[in-house]
Amino acid sequence: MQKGLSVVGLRVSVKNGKRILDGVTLELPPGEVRVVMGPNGSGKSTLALTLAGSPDFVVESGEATLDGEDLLGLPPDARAKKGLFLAFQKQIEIPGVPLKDMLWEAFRARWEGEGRPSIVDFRKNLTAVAQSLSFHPSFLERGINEGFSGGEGKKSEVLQMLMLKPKVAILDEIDSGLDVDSLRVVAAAVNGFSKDCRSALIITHHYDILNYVTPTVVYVMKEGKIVDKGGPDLAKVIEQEGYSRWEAS
Amino acid sequence: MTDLEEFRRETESKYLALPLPKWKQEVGGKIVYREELKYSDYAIPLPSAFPKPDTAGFALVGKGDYVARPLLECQGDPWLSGELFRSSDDKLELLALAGWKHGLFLDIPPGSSAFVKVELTEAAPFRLIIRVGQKASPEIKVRYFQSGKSVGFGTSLLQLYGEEGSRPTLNVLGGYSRVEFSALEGRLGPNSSARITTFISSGDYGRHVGRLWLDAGSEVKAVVGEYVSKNSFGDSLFSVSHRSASTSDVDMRAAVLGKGVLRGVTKIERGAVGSKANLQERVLMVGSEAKAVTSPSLDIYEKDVQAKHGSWAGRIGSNELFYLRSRGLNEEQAVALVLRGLFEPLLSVFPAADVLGDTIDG
Amino acid sequence: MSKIFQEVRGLNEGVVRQLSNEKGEPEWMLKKRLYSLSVFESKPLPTWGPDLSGLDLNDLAYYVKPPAQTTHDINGLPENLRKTFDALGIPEAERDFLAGNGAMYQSEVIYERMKDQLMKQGVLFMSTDEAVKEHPELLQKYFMTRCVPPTYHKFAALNGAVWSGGTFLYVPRGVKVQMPVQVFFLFDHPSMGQFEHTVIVAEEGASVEYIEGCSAPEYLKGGLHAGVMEIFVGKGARVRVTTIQNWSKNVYNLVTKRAIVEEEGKMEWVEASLGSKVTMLYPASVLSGRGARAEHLYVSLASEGQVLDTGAKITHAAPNTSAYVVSKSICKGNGRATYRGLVRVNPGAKGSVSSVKCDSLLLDSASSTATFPAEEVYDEDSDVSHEASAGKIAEEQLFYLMSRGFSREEAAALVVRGFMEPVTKKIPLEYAVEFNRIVDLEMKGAVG
Repeated sequence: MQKGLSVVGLRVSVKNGKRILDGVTLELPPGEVRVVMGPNGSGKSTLALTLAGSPDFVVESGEATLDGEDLLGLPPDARAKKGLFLAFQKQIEIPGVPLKDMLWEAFRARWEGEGRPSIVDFRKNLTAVAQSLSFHPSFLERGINEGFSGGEGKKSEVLQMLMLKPKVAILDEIDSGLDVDSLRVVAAAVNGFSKDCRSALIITHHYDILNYVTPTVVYVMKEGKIVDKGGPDLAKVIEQEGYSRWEAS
Repeated sequence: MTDLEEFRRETESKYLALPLPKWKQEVGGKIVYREELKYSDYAIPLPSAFPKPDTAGFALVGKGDYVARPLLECQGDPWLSGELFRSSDDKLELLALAGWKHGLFLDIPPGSSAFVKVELTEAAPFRLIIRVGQKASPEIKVRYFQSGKSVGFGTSLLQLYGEEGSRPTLNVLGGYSRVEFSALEGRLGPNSSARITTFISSGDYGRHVGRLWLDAGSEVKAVVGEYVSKNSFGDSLFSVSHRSASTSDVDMRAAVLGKGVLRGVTKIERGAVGSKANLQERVLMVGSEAKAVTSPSLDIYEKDVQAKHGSWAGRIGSNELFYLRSRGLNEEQAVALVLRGLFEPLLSVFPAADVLGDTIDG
Repeated sequence: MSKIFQEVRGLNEGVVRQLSNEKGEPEWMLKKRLYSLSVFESKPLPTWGPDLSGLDLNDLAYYVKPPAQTTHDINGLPENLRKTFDALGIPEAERDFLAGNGAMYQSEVIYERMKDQLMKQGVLFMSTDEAVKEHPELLQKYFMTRCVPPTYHKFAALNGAVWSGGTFLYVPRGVKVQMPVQVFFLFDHPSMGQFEHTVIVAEEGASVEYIEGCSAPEYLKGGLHAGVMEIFVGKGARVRVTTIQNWSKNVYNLVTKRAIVEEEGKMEWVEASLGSKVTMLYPASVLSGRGARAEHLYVSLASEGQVLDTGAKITHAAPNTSAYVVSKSICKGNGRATYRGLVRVNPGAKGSVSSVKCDSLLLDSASSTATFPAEEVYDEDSDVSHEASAGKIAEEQLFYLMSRGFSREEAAALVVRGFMEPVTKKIPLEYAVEFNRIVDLEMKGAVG
């Protein structure tokens, strides 16, 4: 059985619209951090959203599995329960639903039987994690992402990731809007994943976060396809030269 | 097919049988009379018979592909009986429908991108029907505005029919009589898109009605401006009905020195899945005698939609006034500036002198 | 247990006289009832709102005397009532949380207990019937005088003619009642009309919170609830009234609530509407003194077969007054929720500020909603705004929560809770819990 996240030949189009992903293939084995980079419009977010089960897209063909089990046939909550997590690029507000309450409910749903931390321990942990992210505790009482700035929204996503401890975390543009300190904390968390046999797929078009996280593999995505795959130096190339190397000839 | 003469005769007898209207307002979907705004001391000088129609009354300037015919020559045209007011029991509405003196039919053929300017040359009740053919994208400017209102009473009816895929731009500058009733009706066919900008500065008493029906995939963006001077009364109703998936964005703005009523109505019918509607009303009250009533309403029968509206009524903020005056402007100049800001979307379409003329002097 | 007066259907002068006589009322009250009756008969049914054609005013019992006597001790309650109280989750009688507790069963208050503290502070808390006898001069000043006169509308007049029960709550000058005062109304007799009349007076500097729960757990045949609430908020005083309404779904709930707020006073209305077949509820606040304020918070859930028509009527009748209205409604099945409001700024009410926000969430394709607000601004020195929105739960919100492991149904319930939160956070905790529980129940299977 193939462990980790595996995507093969994924073709995805917008509902009633045009095709965005044109046969994407990539792997994310446990304990690894991989990066997908590409210019705007290359389909990176579509990839992330499709893997999480967004209703806006239609999978035309291809496969996506987690630890050998199919993901594409499952609704988003079943995928989440299998251990998938998406840190959203576009901030979605859910007014009136306190972040801490949602987290506790989501957390509790994952733990069946014994060994589950009490709500008191959960709250303590939550406060500690929030502090490490310099995420103001009052934000935990607020509606999810309600009135958050871009940076606060990203921190909220990272906070959720740290509390829910997924097997696979897909981070869509997690670095935009974060200051250096928060970026370091996020990077540390991501690095910590690999020790737990968890994995992270960072989607970005900036280089900054890669100063703190060393990916094993860098994928380059363009026009809905993976056009190249390499080591961390590939990211350096992009930082210096942009995506010109992969211009259509 | 409608026989024009017969239609006029029928409507005229219906008109004559009706009593004189008192001012009324819709509150909560029902007509009530409001003591404070009742214009009972103003005798509306309604004609005792429909005027005899003629073929004159308009000056046209344009370029591109279009045809203009007097309405009298369009005997039997299906548009004549109109959608609006057919079953009306309002004297003024019936007058606008069939009691006009000047009538014009403007036909924009499919695919045309004509530019047409229509101006009313004689201040008398008129009716203008504009048909925009498939995929045509004309720009039409209609002007029946006169700043000094010599005529006692007038009505106007403008009808816009946009066929499939059409993209008309319609600008209307109106207000020509002391007591005026004006109506704008629009039917936008599938996948059509309209930009409508209107500004009415009526005399002592004005009632204005706009009604739009949107078919599948159509969209409309409308800016509706009104100026109600001191000692005057103006009542504007703008209603949009979404029959199937369609989009509307209506922006109603009024400067009110007298008594102004702004009513925006959005209706989304069952099955109009994916419709989006936004209606905003903004009334700036100027002077101690200003009175305003706003009544934006939503009537929604389909869940898969996004509908919103908002309204605001108030005066120029004391902070804004203070700021402008601290830059050396006196109160009148400051007010004029703020009004200019309120009517800014109209100023790119109409001559500033027409929109702001009354306000700067008055 | 004696049953002197059985139910009598239909309404005429004879019934009113008998009712007044049975209660042993003074002449002035009988006169008021008869006057109200004549006003009631002269006014037509309102046609501008929901359909009332299913309401047969002649086929109602206007007064039913309950089998038990009024008691001051919960153990003296009849068994079925006690069971009902348990089912409603009403707290134990000995809970310190509550200052006082009165309940209406059918048409008479039968359970009351006043804590010593209230009495010592000079607060009067009793049924309106008792108040007629024990504090006539006080009641006469306030009962259907300038707040809700019989001429206000048809159902206020009806109430004036056949009212029975209700609360009289009088808080003297400067007294601040710390714990909320609670009352429950139960509907338990078929074809009955419930016409309680509550009068709350907060004198200068006083403050009090009043909570009303309404429930009709058994099946009824088209009952009518036409209660009236008159509130007088004195100078600098504060009154909050919270109503949790869960009448069974064949009751016509046509209530009249109005408050007159004096200088620097504050009135807060918190209304949660869950039940009834048709509700017409338009709490009114008259801001009659400088600096008076009103806050109206509504939440309603219109399910299958329900029409909930609510709104706020605000009159700014003095300078520097302000009003804040939030209305959140949810429609499922073919339920319809309508907001019908009026904000009026009178000439001379300079510096008035008013903001109204109403949002509707439609869950099913047969659901519908409407808002018909009106703002009448007769003084330019004011700031009056209104905002409304309608639509369904955003797919992206559902997707976001599902991606955190919530099922679609759970996600919808969370979004709905969040939607109502600006209002539900003002409802006392135990009621909010019960309210949320009822909403969650209704939400099951609601989102396809």
